[in-house]
Amino acid sequence: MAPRDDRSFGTVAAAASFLAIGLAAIYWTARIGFVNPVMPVIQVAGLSLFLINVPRALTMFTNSANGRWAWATTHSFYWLITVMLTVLVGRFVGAPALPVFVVLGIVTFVVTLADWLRSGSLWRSAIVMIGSLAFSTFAGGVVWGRIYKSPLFMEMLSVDGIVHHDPIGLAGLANMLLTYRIPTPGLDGLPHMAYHWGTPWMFAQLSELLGTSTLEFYNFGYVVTMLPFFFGGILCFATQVRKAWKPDVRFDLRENLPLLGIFLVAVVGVFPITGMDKMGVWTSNLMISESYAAGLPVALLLLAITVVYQKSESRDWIFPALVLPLGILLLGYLKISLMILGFLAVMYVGVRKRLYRNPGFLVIGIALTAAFFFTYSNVSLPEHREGLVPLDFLKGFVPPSWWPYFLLVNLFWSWAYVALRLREEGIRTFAELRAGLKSGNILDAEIVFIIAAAGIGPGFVTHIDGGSAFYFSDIQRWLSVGLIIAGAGTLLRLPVLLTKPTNRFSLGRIRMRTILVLFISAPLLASFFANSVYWTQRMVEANRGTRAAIAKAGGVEATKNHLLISELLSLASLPRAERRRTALFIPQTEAKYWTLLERPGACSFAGHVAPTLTGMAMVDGMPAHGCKLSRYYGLGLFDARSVPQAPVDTLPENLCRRAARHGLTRVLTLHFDSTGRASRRVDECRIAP
Amino acid sequence: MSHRAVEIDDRETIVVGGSIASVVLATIYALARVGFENQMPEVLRSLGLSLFILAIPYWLWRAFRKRDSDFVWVRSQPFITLAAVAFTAAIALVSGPAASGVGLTLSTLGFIGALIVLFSWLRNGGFRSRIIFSLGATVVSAWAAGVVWTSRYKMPLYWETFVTNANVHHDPVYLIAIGNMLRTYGVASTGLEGVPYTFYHYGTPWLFSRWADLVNTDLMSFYSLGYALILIPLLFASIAMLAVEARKASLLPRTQGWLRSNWWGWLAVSIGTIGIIPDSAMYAMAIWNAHALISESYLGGLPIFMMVIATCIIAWRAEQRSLVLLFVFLPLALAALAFLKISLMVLLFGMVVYVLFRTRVLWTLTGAASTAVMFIAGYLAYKAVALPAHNGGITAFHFIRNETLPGWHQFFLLAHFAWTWVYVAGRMFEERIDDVAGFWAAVKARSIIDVEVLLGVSLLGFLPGAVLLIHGGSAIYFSDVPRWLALALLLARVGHWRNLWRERHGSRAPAANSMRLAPILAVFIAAPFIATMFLNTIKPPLRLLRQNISLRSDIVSRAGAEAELGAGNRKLLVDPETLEAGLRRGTYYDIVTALREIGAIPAGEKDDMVLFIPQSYRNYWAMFDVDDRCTYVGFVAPSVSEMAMIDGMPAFGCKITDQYNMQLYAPRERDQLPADVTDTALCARAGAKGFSRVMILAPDQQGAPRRRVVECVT
Repeated sequence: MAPRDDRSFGTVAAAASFLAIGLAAIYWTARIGFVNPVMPVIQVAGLSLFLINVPRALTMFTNSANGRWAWATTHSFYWLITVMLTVLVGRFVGAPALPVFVVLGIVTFVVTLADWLRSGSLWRSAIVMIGSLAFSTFAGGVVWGRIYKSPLFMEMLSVDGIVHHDPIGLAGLANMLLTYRIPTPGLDGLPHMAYHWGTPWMFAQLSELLGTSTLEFYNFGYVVTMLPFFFGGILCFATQVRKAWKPDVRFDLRENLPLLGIFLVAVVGVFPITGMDKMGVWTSNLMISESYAAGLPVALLLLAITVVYQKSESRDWIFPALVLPLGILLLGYLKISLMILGFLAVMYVGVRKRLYRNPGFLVIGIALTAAFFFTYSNVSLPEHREGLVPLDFLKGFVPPSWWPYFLLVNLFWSWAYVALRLREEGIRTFAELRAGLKSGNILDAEIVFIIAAAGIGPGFVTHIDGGSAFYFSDIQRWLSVGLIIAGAGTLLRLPVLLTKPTNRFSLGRIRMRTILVLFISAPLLASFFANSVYWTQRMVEANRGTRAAIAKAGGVEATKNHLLISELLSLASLPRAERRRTALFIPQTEAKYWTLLERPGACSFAGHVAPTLTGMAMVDGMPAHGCKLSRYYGLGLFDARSVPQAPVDTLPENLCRRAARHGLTRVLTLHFDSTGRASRRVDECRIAP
Repeated sequence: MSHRAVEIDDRETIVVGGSIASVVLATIYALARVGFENQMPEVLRSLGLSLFILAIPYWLWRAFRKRDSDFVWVRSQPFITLAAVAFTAAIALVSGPAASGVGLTLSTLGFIGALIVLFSWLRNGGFRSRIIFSLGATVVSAWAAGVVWTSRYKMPLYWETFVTNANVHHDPVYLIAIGNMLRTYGVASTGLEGVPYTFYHYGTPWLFSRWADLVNTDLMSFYSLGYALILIPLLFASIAMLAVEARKASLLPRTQGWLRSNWWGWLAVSIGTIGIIPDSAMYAMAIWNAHALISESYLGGLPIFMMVIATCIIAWRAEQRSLVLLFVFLPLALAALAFLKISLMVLLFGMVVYVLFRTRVLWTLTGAASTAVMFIAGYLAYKAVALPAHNGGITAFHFIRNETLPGWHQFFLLAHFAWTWVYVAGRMFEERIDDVAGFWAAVKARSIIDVEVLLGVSLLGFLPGAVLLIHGGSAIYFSDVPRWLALALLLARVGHWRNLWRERHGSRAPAANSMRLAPILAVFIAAPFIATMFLNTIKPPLRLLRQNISLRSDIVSRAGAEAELGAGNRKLLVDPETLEAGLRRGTYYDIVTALREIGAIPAGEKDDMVLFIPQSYRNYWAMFDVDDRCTYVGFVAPSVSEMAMIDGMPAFGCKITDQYNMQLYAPRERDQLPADVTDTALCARAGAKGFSRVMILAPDQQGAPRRRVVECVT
């Protein structure tokens, strides 16, 4: 058992656990009235609790090593290992192992919660628990309040097909990884797609473990398992770094609630959402992007482990030679931006600390550089490399009158951290700054600055589709917020809020400064609360809208796409071995399928629907001639139709020839009647590839 | 430095600043009109009148000033300036047909007076600060020109826009109609069916019609030209005057040139006027920095309001209470403000009563009686001008809910009254008030009565929008007033606060051989705000330029020279012949020209006559149809022809607004019939309204407007 006062991570685990429970409850509530068994909800929540609480239990029941293996006994490392092992179990064992995870998740949750509750004041614990549950309404609102993900995603698809194409494309990719072990969009055979397919692969394994479809996992499992990982990961990073910096000082976020307030301010914002949007500070994208939500905590936990390693008195070579490089390369598969910035940070530290003088580090550096470029070429979609476009992000997403504020506001948390660190170090002049840089005392601030500058760079000089430059520039926010929380006490003092009043209250003794602060804070606080409920309201409205549309149609079964979707889903139940050698073909004449997605421009993504729902790759599955195609989502791998599909193209021998190029020996052709009822035709191919 | 030199420098600075604004506005106006109908005489006369109102009071102040008269309000610059404004209106009224000649004399005096002030101001050295001040005044004036002339309310090419596409706002058309009815018939009316009395604060239409007489122009031209040239400089001058008097009354030290080199103060005024955050953010929080310049009644009333307060500050500092001030000046000022802008009357009355209460004068017989007189004066004036339709009854937070963008409501109090809070915070610092007990002690000691008044005005300005539904967002004319008051008070004190800060905290010693990081941080944080202010400053003038070129291009195209213009012959944009040809092909050229010709007929020949335009004249009645504003089209004829109409309501089927006093008239219940347009029918209708002649303006067979006058036999 760890010492009684070592419950630094208890609050992290409790907050993340209650967030997971809250999200699961919201999902179940949002589906009331539809097919809504409670067991899958419990299973997903149990898996999430497992991921959160097993690391905490490990830190409870194992003593932290202080020597060369300190990094390997950190909460952060345990968390990463737990996630990895869970994914691997999903890959190699699958659903049969689920009960173990669920039971262990619930047990470890109960044990760690009891331990945590015993160690702190009840009201502070209650604030954390209730706050986490309340926060789950915000997080759930963000992730389920738009058309990217929804508890009623399948119903939305059935009603009018107005859903975002992102989850369809990604779930399709995950399916292809499951069925064919190849990262491909599967629109016309199985060409390899260079893409950061780490999360699709990871989610495919977790959906195997849960026994659900990948699309279901994206809409539910992802939210309940990964959002607590995201937010918990940031808090874990802060706590871990704090412990590394001040190992002898007890640190529990529960005892420093204002620090959790800072965290919430960074997440929710204290300016109206319209104002933040204008300055490119987006509150929803970080949760909508599953690759970012999964990748960022991995990056931060890796950094936390690195800090622990760096603070260790004696160091081994396994971490710098193996764990850190592999971690950075792994990040490339999760989110390229994280790998690039992580690589830059490591290289910067290497140069600043002159590690290149050590042959061992030099070799590691060279190997990492080579591996970095190799990985980059494997995970970066060529269509995303669109050359230099000055100020592209600003031009695309920030109104010109707000440009002057972009650097100040977008990188606010980094500026704040750097300024606080300089103040902490007593650096007031350029000469002192130069001395500080020379001494290496402010290397953390330098890294924050480098990551902020390098993160803001891509959006300033290149075009990255869909505003994805945000995923470079936003990283500094969480790094800085984590470090600010970690530095509480010396870096940041909150005397008014943290100390108890020494005098009895009297109206006349209220300071004018206090009134001023409260007066200025009041609208910010009001904005914070307005932002907190904004997304929740949107989620409720979206849910209500879908229910109304279904009611208008006369029930789910009566919705216009229901039967067609059911038919496609039924193919997913075919044995995987059978699907692995099969290509799916849906002729262009099947308008009911090809017009399923109804958003403007969605014809581009019609081909992705079948791989997503069936788990099978298509053959000749590019959208119709005349559809204005997106260049992204793997569509660039395939030739756009230059002429409409001719009857000769649909002949079995031609389809088989096409399928055989990718080693597929069977073609399953689907036709739909006006109701969506499918008729299947299977052609066994005997054509040599 | 002598006290006299300080006083003179400050007041000359006020005159010079205002004069620069007038000259810059006049220059921009004249440049914007190059190639069109020559209005140079009117421009120069308006400029002269503006300079007269700015400079002559200064010379009178110097002439009347005595060693011991520092706090004699009747000899103060603000009071004399108020008197000059009243004098110009009165002399125009009494001089009748000779008003033009009188106006020329006043303008000439204005030029001479301002030029002498300028020479006097320049010869006293301190060139650096004078040059910076002059440049600053020029830039702010150019910004103001851009704001006031790009709003569709007023434009240097107002007539040209009217005849080309009638894309002008209907507000000035409505106000000019009232002004013209006052000019021609002596009745405040919109003149759509005779001249029934209109409840409206018609002070500015009346004042402008008098000034238009002095400038020798029509009222519509004056609204775009003279209004801007006279009132915008007067607003800036009144802010400076209030600042000078407030500073003087505070007995704080003044050095020569403190006003012109009061950079922090002027920066605050510029920020408060132009804005330091993007205009979309200001708009989101209902900070409308353009409205102060666009609303003629507000801009007409605000300088008067500020100068009345400045006068009161002087009187307040005087040892003896002035009965004339209490029983004559203030009641008259309140009544005048009611006719100019009701909100200003309400706020001034509130301020005066509060000060009388706090100084315990209210409980004396004099105080109580003067308050009663003020109340009666204000109430009577209010009853004469208040438009019932503007009062939508009690609605909680109507202005905040409707005029701030969703998600931004909570910032309203903080942002909308930001300058009040800044001033209050500064005064707390100055008085070393650290806690609530200290604040209360200062209130009891009456040492922060300025803070109390400003907070009171802010509260009073906030309340109407918080509890009433006032049409068209006009609650802004209550809540915006504290901004200008606070800015003037800030101008008076910011420099003093800076000195106090240095005294109390000591000036920072420069770090040995190295630059400090704090200034870099300050510049880094300030940079986006500075950049925004720069953008906010240059955007309106650039918009004015773009709009001007766009209209010229349209007119050149109508002249048939589009291809030549497209080929790069930009000279066409200023070529008088091409522009004239293009204007003649304007959609409304014929009708507007015909109305202007009627407008040129002397008022004495029209005062028993009404104008009739048959509904069949579609070119007139469909003028505003393109953007669904048919309800306002009736105002066009009274505003251009200076004549009231008979049967002048918009076409049957047009949705009539419940604002703009339209309730005075009965909407059409059927289409106009041939029987309605016979001479007999029209005479009967005119006779019922007290008129003996009807002028009929109708198109001939070629569609050209023809007019004839029907003499009605009673």
